[in-house]
Amino acid sequence: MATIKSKKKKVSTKAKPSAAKKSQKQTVTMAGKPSKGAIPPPARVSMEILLCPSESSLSPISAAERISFSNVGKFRPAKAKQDQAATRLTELGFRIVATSPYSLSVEGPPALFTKTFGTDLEVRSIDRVQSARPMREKAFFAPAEGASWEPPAELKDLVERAYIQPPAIYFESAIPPKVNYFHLNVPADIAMLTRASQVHQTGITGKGVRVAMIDSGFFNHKYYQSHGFKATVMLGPGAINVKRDDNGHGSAEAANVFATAPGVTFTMIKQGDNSTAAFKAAVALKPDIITCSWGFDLVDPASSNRQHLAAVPGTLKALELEVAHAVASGICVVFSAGNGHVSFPGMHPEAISVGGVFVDQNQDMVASDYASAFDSKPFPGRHVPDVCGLVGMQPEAIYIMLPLQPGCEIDKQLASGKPFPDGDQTTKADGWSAISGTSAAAPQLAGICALLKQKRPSITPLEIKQTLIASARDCTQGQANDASNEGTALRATSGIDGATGHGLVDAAGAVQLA
Amino acid sequence: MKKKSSHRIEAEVIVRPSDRSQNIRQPIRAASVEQFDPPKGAVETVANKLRKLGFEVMAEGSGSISIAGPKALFERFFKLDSGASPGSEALDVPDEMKDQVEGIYVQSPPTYFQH
Repeated sequence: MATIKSKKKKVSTKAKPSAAKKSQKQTVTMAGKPSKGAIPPPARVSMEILLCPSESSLSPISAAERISFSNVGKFRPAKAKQDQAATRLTELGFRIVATSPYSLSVEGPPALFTKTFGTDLEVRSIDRVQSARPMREKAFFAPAEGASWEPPAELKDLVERAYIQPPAIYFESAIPPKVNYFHLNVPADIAMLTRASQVHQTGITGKGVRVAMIDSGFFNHKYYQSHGFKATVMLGPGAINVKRDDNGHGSAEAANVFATAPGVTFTMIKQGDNSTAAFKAAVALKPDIITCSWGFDLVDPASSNRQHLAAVPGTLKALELEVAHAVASGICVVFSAGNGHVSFPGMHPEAISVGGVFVDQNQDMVASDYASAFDSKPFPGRHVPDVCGLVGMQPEAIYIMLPLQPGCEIDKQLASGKPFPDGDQTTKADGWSAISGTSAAAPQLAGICALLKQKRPSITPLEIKQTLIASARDCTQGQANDASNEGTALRATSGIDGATGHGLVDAAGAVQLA
Repeated sequence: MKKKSSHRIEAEVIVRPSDRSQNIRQPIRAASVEQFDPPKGAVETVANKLRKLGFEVMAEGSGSISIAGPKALFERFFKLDSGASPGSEALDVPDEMKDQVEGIYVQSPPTYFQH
C-alpha cells in the first residue's frame, strides 16, 4: 500500500509496491485539488517504467550505490527484458513513446493504468512556476491517497516501478542564460550605454517619480525580485488575470525602465484589446510619465510601398485626444517610433518619439536598420524619431537579454533552435529572450525622463523633450528601416538626421542640463 | 495578449466638442486640445445613456468613452454590419445621440514593437 502526501519542495508522483517501506514514500509539493481556472488534465497519463534488474545489474530503487556517470552501466537491465516489457505493455494497450537502455516512456488512458496496475488515480494540480507569481496551474492524474500497486502477473518480473509523470515546473533564473553572440544585459549594460549609471552614482535614480507603463502585463520574474525592483500591476479595461503575462512583452520591456531608473515607483497597466481605454486608466493614476512600446501602423494597406496615411483614422482619434490631454495636464508621454511601422501615437507631436541606435562591442554607434524613421503626414513638420535608445539590427533585433514569463509567446518565438541572428539561443521556457526593437528604447527613455523629473520636479513634458534633444549624442552612421518611409531608408549623418533624429540619449548630459 | 472574442466588441465613442465649429479630423495638439472638450457633464451623460442601452462603459476620458458589448448590441444600435470585420470604419451614430456624439469607432489591439 503506498500513499502520496503533500509536502514542501519535492515533486514526484508514483505508484509503488504495496510492500514499500514508509521511508520510501514520495512527496508532492504545491499539488492539490485543481481550482476552477486550472488547465484540465491530459487525456493520457505519461509514465516512466523502470525495469526489474537482471542478475548482473542493480536496482535504481533499492541499490546502496548512488547513480553516477562512472557506475551508471551497472543499472542497465538486460535488453531482452526491456523488449519483453515493451511488447507486453503494447499488448495491454499502452503506447511506447521513447526507450532508453534504462527505462521506457509510456502513455495510456488513465482507466487503462488503473485496470492494469490496480491503482486508483485522482486529479491534482500544480503551480507550474515556483516563484511569487505562478503560471496558470495545470491538472494531472496522480495515484490517489492510499492507492494500491498490483501489476499483472505478466509484468511482475519485468516492471519494478511505474511512475506517473507530473507536469514540468519552470524554474526561471534571476541570472540570464549564456549565449555566444554580442548582446546587452539588464540593468548594467543599458545603464552604462545610456549613461544613466553615472547619474545613479549621484543619488538620482528616479526615486519618487511615478512611471506608468501600458503593456501586456507583468510577470514577477526572479530577476525583478532579486534586484528588488517592485511593480504594481493593475488590469486595464477588458484585461484579465493580473498575475500573468502570456505574451511576455510587458514583463520584458519593464526591465528597461528599471535599468535607467531603478528607484521609480512603477505601475504596469495590463491592457486588453482597447489601448485607448488602457491609456485613460493610466492617465487616471496621474503618473509623471506614461510609456508605451506599441502603436498602430498608419499605412494604406492597398498600396504596394506602404504609403503613409494622410490623416489619423477615426478609430484612433479618441487616443489622439487622450494623448494630447495627458501632455496638456503635465504628464510626460513616451512612445516607441516603431520597427518599420509608421507608428501612431509614436508620431504625435507631443509624445517623445523614441527610435533606435545600435551600439556594438567597441561602443561604435550606428542607426538601427530595425527602427522606424519618417516624416509624419498627419502632423506636417513632425519628424520621427526625436531621440533614440538602444535597439538591435535586422533581421530580428536580437540584442537585449530580457526576463519574461517562462513559456510565454515571446519566450517560444525566438527559441527556434536557429543560430544568431535568426534565433536567440535561449530555450522555450527559460524565462529569458534576447529582444529589443523600439519597444526597448521607449522605456529606457522613460526611465531617463524620471531621472530628470527627480532632479527638477517642476520640469514640464516639453522641457523634458527639449533637454533630451539638446543632450543627445550624434550618431552619424547607418540608416533606419526603409519600411517606415515608403521604401527609402533615411540615413544617419552628422548633426540632426532622418534616421536617428537628434541621436542616442545621454542621461548624464540631460540631467546636467535639467 | 488576451484573445479577442468574436462576440464582444470594444469601441470608442467621441463626444462632440462644446465648440461645434471644431473639426475633430484635424490634428489635435496639447496646446489646443481644450478646444475639443465637450460641455461639462456631457461625457457622463452620454456614458449613462450607453449604460442604459446595455453597453459596458469601460473608461471615461476627457472627450471620449470606451465601451464594450455583445456584437448583437452593436449591430442593433450602431448598424454594425454583421459580416464586416471590425476596426477601420465609423459606426452609425443613432439619431437620438447625434447631438452629443461625434463618432463611434470599433477598436483593434495594437502592435507591440519588439520584433
